[in-house]
Amino acid sequence: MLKIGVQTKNIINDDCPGKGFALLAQTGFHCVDFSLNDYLRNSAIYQSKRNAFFDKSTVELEEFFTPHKKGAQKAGIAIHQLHMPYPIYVPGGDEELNAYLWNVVAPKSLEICAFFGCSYLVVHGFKLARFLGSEEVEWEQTEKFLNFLAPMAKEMGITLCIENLYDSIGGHLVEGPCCHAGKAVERIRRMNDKYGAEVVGFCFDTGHANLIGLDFEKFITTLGSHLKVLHIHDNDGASDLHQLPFTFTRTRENLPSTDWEGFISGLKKIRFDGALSFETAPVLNAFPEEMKADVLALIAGTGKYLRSRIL
Amino acid sequence: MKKVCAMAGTIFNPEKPGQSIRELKTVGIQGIMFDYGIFASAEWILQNEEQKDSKWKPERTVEYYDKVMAAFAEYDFLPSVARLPFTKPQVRLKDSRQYAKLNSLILRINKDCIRACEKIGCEMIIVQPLSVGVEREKEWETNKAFYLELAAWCERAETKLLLINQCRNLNGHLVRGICSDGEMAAEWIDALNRETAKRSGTPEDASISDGVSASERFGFCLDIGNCNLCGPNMQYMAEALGKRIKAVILTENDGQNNAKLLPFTSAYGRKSTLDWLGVIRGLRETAFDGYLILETVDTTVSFSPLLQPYLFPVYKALLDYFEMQIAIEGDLKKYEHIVLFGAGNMCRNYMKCYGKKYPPLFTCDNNPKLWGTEFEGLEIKAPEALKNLPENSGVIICNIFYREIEAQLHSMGIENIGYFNDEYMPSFYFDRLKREEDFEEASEKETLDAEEKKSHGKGKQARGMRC
Repeated sequence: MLKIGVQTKNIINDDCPGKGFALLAQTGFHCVDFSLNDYLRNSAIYQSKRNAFFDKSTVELEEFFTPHKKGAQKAGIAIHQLHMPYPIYVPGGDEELNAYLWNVVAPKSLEICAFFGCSYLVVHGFKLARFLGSEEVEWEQTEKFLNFLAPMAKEMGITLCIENLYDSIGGHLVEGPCCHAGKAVERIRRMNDKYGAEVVGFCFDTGHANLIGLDFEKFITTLGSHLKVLHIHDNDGASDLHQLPFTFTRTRENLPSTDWEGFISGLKKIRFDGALSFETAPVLNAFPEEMKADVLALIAGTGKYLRSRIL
Repeated sequence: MKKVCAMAGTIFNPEKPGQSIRELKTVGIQGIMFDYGIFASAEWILQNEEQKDSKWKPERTVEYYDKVMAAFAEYDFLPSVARLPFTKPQVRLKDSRQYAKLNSLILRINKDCIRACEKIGCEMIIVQPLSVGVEREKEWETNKAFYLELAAWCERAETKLLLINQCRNLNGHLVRGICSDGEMAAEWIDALNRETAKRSGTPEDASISDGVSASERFGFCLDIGNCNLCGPNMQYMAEALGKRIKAVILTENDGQNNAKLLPFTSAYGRKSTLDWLGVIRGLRETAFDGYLILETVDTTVSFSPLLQPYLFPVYKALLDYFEMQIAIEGDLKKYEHIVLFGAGNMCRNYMKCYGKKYPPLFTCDNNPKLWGTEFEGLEIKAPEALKNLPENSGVIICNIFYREIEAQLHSMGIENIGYFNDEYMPSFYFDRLKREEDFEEASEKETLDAEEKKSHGKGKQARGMRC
């Protein structure tokens, strides 16, 4: 059965994680996308700053996340997928930080993922096409990074999921890394053949796809069984807003301007059986705190609707 | 490359084109892309079919083409590229049976236009694929029949029918439509060319090779504006289509609204919001040498008719600029020996990207502190050294003070001068070079850049999360 999940950001509090997991169970969720990226934020990385969170030893990190693991278990919530901090490489950024992201943050993310008993770790590909000259050369760098992690991932039974991303040209969001489904499939197959295990899979992000006008159904059906996890959210086609599906319209008819029918049809065609996981933390910022449970129930309800159409 | 402007906006009145043609010719623009959509629309003909006196009748529009073409012929300004009438992707008809009627009307109008084009020797004809009312599963099948029928209608061997990338209207959101996937568009073109060759009895071995076919009836027109609206990687798209690209429509928009703006004018945070780097890299990679079509109707007509002619020199300069960027190696190939002028970031970029292929003898700079030193493996000499160059040497200016340096070189009696430009390089350094002596001069610019980053950052925040 398709599970329904949501990212932990804005829901799970480190001081009392069990409370958040209980709320998720109560509002209709089965699993979460653990927002490890919230512990070392992209806004800081882009400014060549970092906190000391990942300086902790593996034992210390496991100790830190034990209440989270126990809280999830108690509430019956599975940790379905985990998001690695990003970016892992800042072009022209601090060399020491780039090395730290690659050599410390990434392997420790895998260890945390394994600690949670989670099978999928979402990683962002490198955004280097502008500097290196082409998407192919950009991918070579991402592949080097995946090759660095793959032996560890294989041993831990984790699949590294590459995600379709966007890039910004003067604030206009255009195609970024991993936006070509055919190439992604060829690359995933090649890497999995090399390691004799499913070390690489795909994370389809509906919001990013909508920003660059991708054909959802075609993209998903091309990915087929390599599609492992989802980031479900909506936007206006211009900004990466991470809002609730069916929120945006553009005409007086008020019909959705995001290709949800293509999304449903694609997942149905490939018989997707993972988690319908929402990446909608900003929705919880927008609504008053007092409405959190109602909003979460609406997100879960949207998941139930999608599931009913897909099954 | 052949450089032309789209008709709308540049031809003030198609029936009396004399004034516009004279103004275009004065600034050196030698051609236009003729737009049949100005005179014919299948949608309007269908809507007015009950009205006997309507001007929207196929036979009347045919008469009109002839009249307009006669006026253009008078000024020796007949087009060699034309665009047939387009149907808007948002067209919705109340009765679904009307779609078949609309599409058969489009076929008829297109045939009339092709005949009119062939009559005046216009060889490149841009034909929009059928999409309105066509089920997505049947897009190829429907368009294959449509294009092959048009191909069979052509009488002249030289006539080329160009497919063009489209957007799909998803409840007001323009997303990827027919031919917006470069690989798929290339497959369509090859299949159409193969079928045309087969039907005309061209031998098998004369068919497709890297998208170029002996009986190459079909090619592609890359509409940069449509690309920008639905976000594909334009570099990759151009590379996938390769030599099949016969024409490129240069236009700009904000990525949301299908406006036809002057390139570089939909800017934010001091930069264009269109990926011109991808466009130029892609077209360079394919060694593009077809039609560059500048389409700027929304920019042009938003200016007063009194001001519009002042835009024409800019159009000419833009077309020349794009040609220079796409064929950037042109000036480098011209001379047996090359010497650079400038020893900064642009010189560094030259050496990174072209230094091996076109090695310079040395570089020179106006900064005496640099004379006698080495930079990127090149000796930096004083400009005086340029007076003793071997035969067939060219001085390539690698510094943004082009005009000032060009005047300096002319004053020294140097005539073989070329421009290099590193705005759209095949690859870039992650950092910019900083010399101590640059800091003072740069301090003002740094302040501006910092302000720009600050305001840009604010913009990003306002525009949502960052992936």
